[in-house]
Amino acid sequence: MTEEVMIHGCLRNEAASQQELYYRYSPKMLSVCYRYAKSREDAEDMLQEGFIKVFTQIHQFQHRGALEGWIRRIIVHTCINNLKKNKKFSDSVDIIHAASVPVREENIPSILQAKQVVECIRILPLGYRTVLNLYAIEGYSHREIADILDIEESTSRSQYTRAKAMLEDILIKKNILTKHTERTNWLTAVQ
Amino acid sequence: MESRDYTGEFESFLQEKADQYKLYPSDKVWNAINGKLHPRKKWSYLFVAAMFIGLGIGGKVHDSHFLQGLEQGADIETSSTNEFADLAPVVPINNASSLRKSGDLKDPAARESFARVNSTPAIHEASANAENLDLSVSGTSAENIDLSASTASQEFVRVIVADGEHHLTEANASSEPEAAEKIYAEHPASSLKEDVGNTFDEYFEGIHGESQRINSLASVAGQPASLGARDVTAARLAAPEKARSIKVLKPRHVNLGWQLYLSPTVSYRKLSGEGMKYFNGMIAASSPDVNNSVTHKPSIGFEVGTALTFATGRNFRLKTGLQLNVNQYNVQAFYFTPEVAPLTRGGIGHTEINAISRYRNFNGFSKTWLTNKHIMMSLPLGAELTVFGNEKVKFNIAGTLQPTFVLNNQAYMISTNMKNYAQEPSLYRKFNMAAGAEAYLSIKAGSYKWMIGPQFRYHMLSSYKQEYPITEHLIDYGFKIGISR
Repeated sequence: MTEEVMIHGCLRNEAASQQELYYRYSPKMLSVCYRYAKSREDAEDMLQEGFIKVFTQIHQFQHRGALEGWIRRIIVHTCINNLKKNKKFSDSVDIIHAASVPVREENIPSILQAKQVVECIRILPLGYRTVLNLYAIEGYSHREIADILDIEESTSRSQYTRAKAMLEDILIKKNILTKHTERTNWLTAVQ
Repeated sequence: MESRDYTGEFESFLQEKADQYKLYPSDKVWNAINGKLHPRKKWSYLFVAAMFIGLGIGGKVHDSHFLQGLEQGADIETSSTNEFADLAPVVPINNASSLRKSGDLKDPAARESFARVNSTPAIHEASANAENLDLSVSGTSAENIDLSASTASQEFVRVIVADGEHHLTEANASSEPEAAEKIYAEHPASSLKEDVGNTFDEYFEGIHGESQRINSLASVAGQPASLGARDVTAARLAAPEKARSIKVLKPRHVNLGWQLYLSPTVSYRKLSGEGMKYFNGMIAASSPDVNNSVTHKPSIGFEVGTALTFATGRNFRLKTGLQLNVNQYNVQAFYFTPEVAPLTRGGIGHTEINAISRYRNFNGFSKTWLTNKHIMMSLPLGAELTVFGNEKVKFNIAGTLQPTFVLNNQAYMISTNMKNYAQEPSLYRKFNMAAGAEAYLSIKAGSYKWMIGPQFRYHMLSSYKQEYPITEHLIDYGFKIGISR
């Protein structure tokens, strides 16, 4: 089924097309949710809510960009709204003081490096993790992040800096990265 | 989203790794989404629930009518006894010769009816439309005949012979005293004595007809009907030698019963058929025999239903009802990236049906168990036989044919190359035919009976349409627990 046929089917509320779209994008979108959520179960709840929005708002898709990007934005906003709604975000958005939060050294099953990296991101405090996800992975600017999270732009910048430093340390400790002499280009993935 | 000026090495690294990482959601996520987007499916469950409630209420109403009838019968007996006690004393005479002859009646039919009425030597009493009209004719004879005829809905007939006085009260019929006197003018005492010895069943069966005939007699005699409650002394018949009172309570023969049951079941399936030996020019599976290619295990389901039974004999009952079955079992699969799964053999003249699957039958990322679940509604039609037992405990066997409608099928089908599991609703069979067999003990507890015993249910048709080369017959083993009346 081509993407065009699938979208038309979804516009007609056809279950087969919706299922096709879901199966095509749900694995990637669940990993997005997983980076924001506290647990796998929370991630699936976010995914469910996000895809319901996707199917009910698919008539708003303008074909200007990739369908995956459009779905991804809906999913990310759903995750953020979910965190806000459940006050999980605000509880840990004491981002300013988050530097003092001890990082749990979890025993991450290392099957794939991608999984290790994601699990390392999930070790970060929720506030750090959210800013890092939005800036480093989703590509939002600090001004957009400030709008989304209802925080100051400067706060977003400082939190990202701290989150990045914390993640670097974790990745080095996990032997995923090696440290170079200069901070700016010392990140090299271990092959 | 505005573009960012700078994406460093660290950010690129994170993006790359994050994009590589994929997680496969559990089936309940899609089921929830699908349920939310297509909520009309819930109506079928509501319909089923409504049907069960309706049948349950129907069974209860039937039961309460039966009980009400019993109570009415008891009331009739009591009130009638009092009514008779209040009757004016009747002086019995033993001389039947003083009675007028039935020949006084001109019409032969009237004479015949008269003879039949007079040959009924008992007091038949019941209530009909809450109205009893006493026909008694005062005269010199020593007999009153009161017939309280029952309509078809009456539960009991009481037959009383007391002190040689025979009261015949007829419901909804009356006569002028003179006419009644003519009707009852002659009554041979000898026939009375003989008839006392007759079975009361005969009276029960004939009583309604008799009341009809009395009506016709009244009309033959040219008398208006519906005179209200008035006493007419019809005749006096010879009294038996000895005063005696006989009471017979005869319950209506109730043929209908109902059952309500629940059975936890263990669901299996019987697979047969072969898949493709080659797919896309390559060997599809090491063994095309499906039984060598799948790993499955049973799971717990249930059956709930209600049935109406109709007794056609002492130990034999026909039954029908409505039944809900939930059948499920698990198949082993492995998560994998989405790929095409062929579900038909294809070839010339055959339609090829493929599905997108993210489950492999073997060699995937991580193992999981897929649950194949079927929710079905069926209409069992069958019979029950009581093999042996006593009043308290009986051993029964039953068999049913069950036309079945599949309300919901959440089944993963193995692809015909034996490589993947996929869902393809267009290949699911909506209607099926199941056969059920059971053996159970019925244990009497008060006015109800408990039913417990093993049961077996087998789908005679495959769960899938003929285009799918693999056949699957569902099997349920259960233990029935129910109540019946």
